[in-house]
Amino acid sequence: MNYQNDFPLIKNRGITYFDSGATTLKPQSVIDAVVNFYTHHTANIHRGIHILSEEATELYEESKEKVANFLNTKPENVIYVKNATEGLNFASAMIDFSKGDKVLTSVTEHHSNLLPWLLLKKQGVIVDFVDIDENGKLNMDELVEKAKGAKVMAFSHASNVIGTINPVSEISKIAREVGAISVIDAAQSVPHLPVNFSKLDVDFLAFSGHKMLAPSGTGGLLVKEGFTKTCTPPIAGGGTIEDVTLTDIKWASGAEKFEGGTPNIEGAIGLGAAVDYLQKIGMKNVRRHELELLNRFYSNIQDLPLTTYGPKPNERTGLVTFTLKSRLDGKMDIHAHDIADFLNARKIAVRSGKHCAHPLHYRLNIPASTRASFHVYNTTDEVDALFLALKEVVEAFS
Amino acid sequence: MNLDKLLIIHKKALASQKVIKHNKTHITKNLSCGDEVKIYLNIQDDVIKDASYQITGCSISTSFTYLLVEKIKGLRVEDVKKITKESFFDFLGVEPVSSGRIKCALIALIAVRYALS
Ligand SMILES: Cc1ncc(COP(=O)(O)O)c(C=O)c1O
Repeated sequence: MNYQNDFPLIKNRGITYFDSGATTLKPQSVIDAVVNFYTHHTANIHRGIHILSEEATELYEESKEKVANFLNTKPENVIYVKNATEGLNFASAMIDFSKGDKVLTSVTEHHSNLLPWLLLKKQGVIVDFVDIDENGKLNMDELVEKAKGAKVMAFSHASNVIGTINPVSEISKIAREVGAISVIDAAQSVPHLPVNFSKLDVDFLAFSGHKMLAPSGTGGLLVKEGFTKTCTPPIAGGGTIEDVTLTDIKWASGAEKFEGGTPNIEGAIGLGAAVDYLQKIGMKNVRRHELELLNRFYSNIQDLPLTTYGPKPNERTGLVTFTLKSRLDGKMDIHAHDIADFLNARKIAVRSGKHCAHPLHYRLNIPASTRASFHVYNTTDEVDALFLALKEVVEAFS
Repeated sequence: MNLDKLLIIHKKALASQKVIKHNKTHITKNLSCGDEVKIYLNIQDDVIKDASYQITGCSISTSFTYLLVEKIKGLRVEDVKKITKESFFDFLGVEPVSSGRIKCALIALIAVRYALS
């Protein structure tokens, strides 16, 4: 299947877009949903009696139902946030920590699943890390050992650099055994793989809408049944209460308690449309499509002086991160920014740098890397074009 | 600067790295991309008698370090201190790089400024 016609930017700009790990392009149906809200239904939600407010509220709630259904949970356990970063910060703020508590995470994490935990160090919380093996997979023996006594186990579902899909069900089982709370950064899995929140049996799971074809400023924090009752909201304000007096608060039930202030209503509606779009294709087919692109990339690169990081295609999401030398026997890498600049001149968009994962780059002992990340709108022809352009980069710098 | 010209300067710039006898030096790093520039200056009577560098970085940071170091040789310290981010490309007499690569180009200027301060 070729989905390119659904994405107007591709036609308008003629760019081969390989930066979906940073943010995805938007299909026309998502753009239309946002424009339709502005042109026919603009109003605040949960507030007015008038028809527009009612419609806006319905559209917003419909979006939540779609997301809940997409990830297999109940709408009342889906807290809308502005992105995965906010979701992960919310999770850390919703957990009560005491001095000496331990958070276990890994060396591969995006800064958004690292800094919220490192911030807790000033409260006396200990942060420990699981290393990876030579294929970029978590050392599970080390994880089991270090899980003992952990209060929180915070891991990504998939790495934004090396693509590794972590065994989340196994991690949540280990967390249950040691009585730890599991927090999953699903920013790079929800857009690319079927994700079943209930089946994964984790406590918190965060994702970003803009990485799954939806507008920026959207995302979700999924929480385990009962958590919305027991946890204190990190922010509070309009919409979060059922009643408040000068001395007492009666919190709203469900996710509303955590969504203080006017939310990104049009964004949420766009997110619902993105879910519709992805469900129409089917996440299994999204995965199949990305696997085809991955396999194409890996079968092409044999004779390039290129090093890729992370496990083999069936164990990773649809992204490849690499360094490139100017010749096969060369010592020096071509700088990632030079590669990205060169590809940009050929209308190919990739990401270069450390991809908000500095500790992982230090672990891999590379100053920077180049990442090509895929989504449904990419084609095997585009992957071939990338390969040819990389060959030209090598020639230019040799 | 077009790519062909850049690549020619880049090659020259890679080959021109060395350590000279110096009385001022500084290392500047760009942590987001891993670039590292070492600047060596030999200053006599407020004049930069000689200058050199060592670098790990991209073609732009390497080329602009070379261009800057070549250009400041023989100049008075006070004149070099007057180069700003805004006047940098004019001073070198080359076209500015794209906005995404400005940081790469300016790393040498930052290193020279620190070395002089
Ligand atoms: C693995 C991972 N976690 C978290 C984030 C943060 O996402 P956002 O910037 O949307 O909050 C990203 C984004 O790059 C990511 O790749």
